[in-house]
Amino acid sequence: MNAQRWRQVDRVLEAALELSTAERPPYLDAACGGDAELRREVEQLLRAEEDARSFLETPPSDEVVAEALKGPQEGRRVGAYRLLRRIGEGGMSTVYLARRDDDQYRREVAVKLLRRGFETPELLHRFRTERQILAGLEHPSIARLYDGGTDEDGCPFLVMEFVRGLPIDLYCDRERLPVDARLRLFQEVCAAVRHAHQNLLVHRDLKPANILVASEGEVKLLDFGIAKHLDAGKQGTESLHTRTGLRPMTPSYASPEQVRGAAITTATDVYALGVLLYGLLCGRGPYQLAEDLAHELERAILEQEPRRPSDALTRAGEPSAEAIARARGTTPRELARRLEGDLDTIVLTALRKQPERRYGSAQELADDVERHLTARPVAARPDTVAYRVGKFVRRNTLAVVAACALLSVLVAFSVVTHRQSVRIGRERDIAQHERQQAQQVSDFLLKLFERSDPTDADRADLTLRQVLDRGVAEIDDLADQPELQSAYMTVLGKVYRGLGLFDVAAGLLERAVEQRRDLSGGDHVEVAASLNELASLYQDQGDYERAETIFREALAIRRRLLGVSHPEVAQSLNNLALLRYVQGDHESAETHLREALEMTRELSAGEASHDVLAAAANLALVLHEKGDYEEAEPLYREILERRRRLGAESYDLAVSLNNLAMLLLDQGALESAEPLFQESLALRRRLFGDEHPHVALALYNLGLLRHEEGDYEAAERLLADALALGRELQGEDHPRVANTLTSLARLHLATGRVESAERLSRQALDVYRRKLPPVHFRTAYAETVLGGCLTELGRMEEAEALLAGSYPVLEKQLSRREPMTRDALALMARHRAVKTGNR
Amino acid sequence: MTHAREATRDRVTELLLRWSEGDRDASEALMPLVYDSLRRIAAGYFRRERADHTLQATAIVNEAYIELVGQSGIRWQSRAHFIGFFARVMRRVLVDYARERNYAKRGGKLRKVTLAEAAALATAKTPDLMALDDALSSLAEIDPRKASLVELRFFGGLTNEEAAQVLGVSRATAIREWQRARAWLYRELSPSA
Repeated sequence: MNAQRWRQVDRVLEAALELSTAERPPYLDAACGGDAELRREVEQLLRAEEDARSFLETPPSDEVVAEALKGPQEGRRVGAYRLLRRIGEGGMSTVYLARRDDDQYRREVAVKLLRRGFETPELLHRFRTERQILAGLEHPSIARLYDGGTDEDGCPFLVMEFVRGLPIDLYCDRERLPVDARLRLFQEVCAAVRHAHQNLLVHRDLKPANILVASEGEVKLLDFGIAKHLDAGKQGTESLHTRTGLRPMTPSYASPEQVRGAAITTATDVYALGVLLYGLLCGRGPYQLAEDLAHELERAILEQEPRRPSDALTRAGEPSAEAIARARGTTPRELARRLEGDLDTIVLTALRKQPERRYGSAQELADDVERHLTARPVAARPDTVAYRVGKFVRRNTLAVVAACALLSVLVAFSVVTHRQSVRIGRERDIAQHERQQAQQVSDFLLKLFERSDPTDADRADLTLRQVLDRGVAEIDDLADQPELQSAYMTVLGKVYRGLGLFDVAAGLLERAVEQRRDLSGGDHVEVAASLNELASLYQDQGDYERAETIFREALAIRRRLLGVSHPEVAQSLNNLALLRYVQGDHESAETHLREALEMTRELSAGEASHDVLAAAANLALVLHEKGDYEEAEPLYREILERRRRLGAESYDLAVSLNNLAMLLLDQGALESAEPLFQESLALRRRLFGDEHPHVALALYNLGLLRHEEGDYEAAERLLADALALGRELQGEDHPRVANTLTSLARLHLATGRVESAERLSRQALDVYRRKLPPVHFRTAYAETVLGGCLTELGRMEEAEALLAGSYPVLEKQLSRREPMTRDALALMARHRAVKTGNR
Repeated sequence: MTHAREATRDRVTELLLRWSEGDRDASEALMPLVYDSLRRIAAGYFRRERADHTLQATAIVNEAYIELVGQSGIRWQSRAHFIGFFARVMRRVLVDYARERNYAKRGGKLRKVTLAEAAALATAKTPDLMALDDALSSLAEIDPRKASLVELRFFGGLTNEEAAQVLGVSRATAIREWQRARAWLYRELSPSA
């Protein structure tokens, strides 16, 4: 564009900018006449003007200006040294290759200069500290300090040994060092760190960039720039570094205590050595991050258990497992095998979250590596059984279900035994016998756990499965104690059911029922208990008819033996009600639940026992789904109140919070719902950790709330998190994952991303159609959302078929007040509008 | 006041005048004088070990002006010219610095900017100084006043008001010109334009 043409454009632009958006087109019509090029030009600039509001408003920062004014440093003389070229740059300093400017020595050195604009008292102090620290260290694997001083501008500098080498990780890869050679080098690093520790110094910034390997293969530790003197009183550096807000560290290598800003000890370096070893061995980082963001990483450092290096290797990523193995002169399979066991354990021990649970020193770490290299047993122990069972329960759904089942069974045993021993004092011997039996079953099960191979425990379901299979194999050993044997089979059946291994569970439970019938002549509370388990199993398998028959049989036995009003009778009613509920028969579910609730209330004489609350909670849920919000809400509130008063943080409390919040959400009371959702989410995280289906559900529900609020970005984030978590923990094919897909589809539809909405709803439908009964409101709602997408895409006939076909199902299975039903009505209205608009 | 300094000042004033009349040689002669002065002053600022050190462009420019031109006999034009020149120097210093850093960072290879990178740079708070420098030179060819305005405001750190004074226009005009200059540069630096 020439100046004359620009003046023309500029004049029109200037005038247009004075006008409102609405006034512009007519003005441009007039001003540009037939000059389309002129008009295009002006319109582009008008758009650019809108986007450029903050552009160039902030001049270059002081630091940049200062650094720029300093001009090139190369060739400058600093003290007795001439700077040759820049070789490194840190946060606050720059390192130059330099040579002594007189004839005294010809050797090359590294000169570290504080960057211009960084001469705050604090940084000057830290620079001086580094000098003191380096002066006190003398070790072949630590770069030496030669000299130091202040340049003509009054800026401090350090003169150090110049190390011509590569960062340790690059060196190892370039030399294609096998695992053993890497371990040897790593031991040298440990020795240097140990020397620093012996001088009461924590390096705090151990990472490959600070650990060079010279061409002769010798290790040099550099950069004590943020090192800390443990003898703080003497050095007076403590207040400087532990102050909040000033936490110098390199995120990828930072320990949990550094992230938290907690006390730094030598264990901090042990952790960083663990991260280093991790990378040297398997070529990846210890944490799996959804996004490569600093806060994401910090959270992982605080909360995520590192993957075992042997597992991390085989996980997909860049570089590929093949490339990583090649750099170690081996194949992925061989390398994984090499890392499994000792090396996994050593690395994970160094990486433990709590400093006191790591190796006591760099030396201990190096010693264990030595033991491994010389094929002696290593000192590190995988986490103890109790620790791991706890951890694994926290992380793993299946295991949680199983463990809960197991625990409740064990508790039930002791309760039953206790109750009987009180009630039938006369038959103390029998009671004694039963207690013994309960004890034996528990012992048997616990033994199975204790004998399981501890190193396999991280593969939660696999190991649990192995443990249980072993238990099944031992059933026949109990043939001479048929009572114990049937109790044992019932417990195992329950656990298998919890794990979703229905066929095995069915075999065990059917056998248990049969055996108990044989033993008691048919009528016995234990027969009823086994029947109950069996019926629940059939329900899980979707065989509702058989489930109902058997639930009713158990109910009949209990009524006969225990009377019309008894906790176990109430339990049977409750089970029956839940069965009717999943079948979509809200009315008979409600009837059974009311009876159960009334019974338990009477039995517990006004006390809010666990049973009463459970019955009330189920009734409230059914009322809620029926659309009877007015009766459901006070019930929910009562339950929540009582659970709060119990004081303990429990899953039940989290459920209560969630359900009340959902009810409020359904009623449109978003503001009252939000804090309850938040509380429920936080509680779930505390109870189950971040990675748990219960947490995924809370994220999902909070996402729905955000959608309702119109905060689409937050909704998207939450739903995406819930989806990722659900996929990881429950698999692609779980109906809950499909629920999340549907809601995400709805969100995309609402925000105009119709194609992706269509894709998502089709994915959800695919799952529902395979996993749910043929007529189900979830399927119907996903069809409705898909119909909405097709409406927007102009595929009116397909859309109409879906919308018209799915609405009756929603109306039948859900109340009209339910958001899904209301949404369906809205999408149908939209369809009609588009259709008539088209005509 | 020494004779040597007096002589320098006379020379600087004269060079400024010649520069403002478009004498390129004057600019070449003036650059090192101003540059050295700025360096000295900036270094002085940072030696004062203040935690809250801030480098204010206008403060430096004043100090440099007094050092190079002196307080006495200030003519309004020479001061305006000086500030204009100062902004020019700052532009060159910063762009050179960016170029050097970039060169060092890329291991000596000239960098290629991807489309996504370019878009990010264009919208970033601090734009790619080298690209901005090029665009600003193009703008100077078709609209020198807008280019000067950007130089004063962005590189010289002047407010609209101060820049208007230097350029001898009203504040309202300066604001409107700035708006259009910014739009032009923004479009120039956006990848798909």
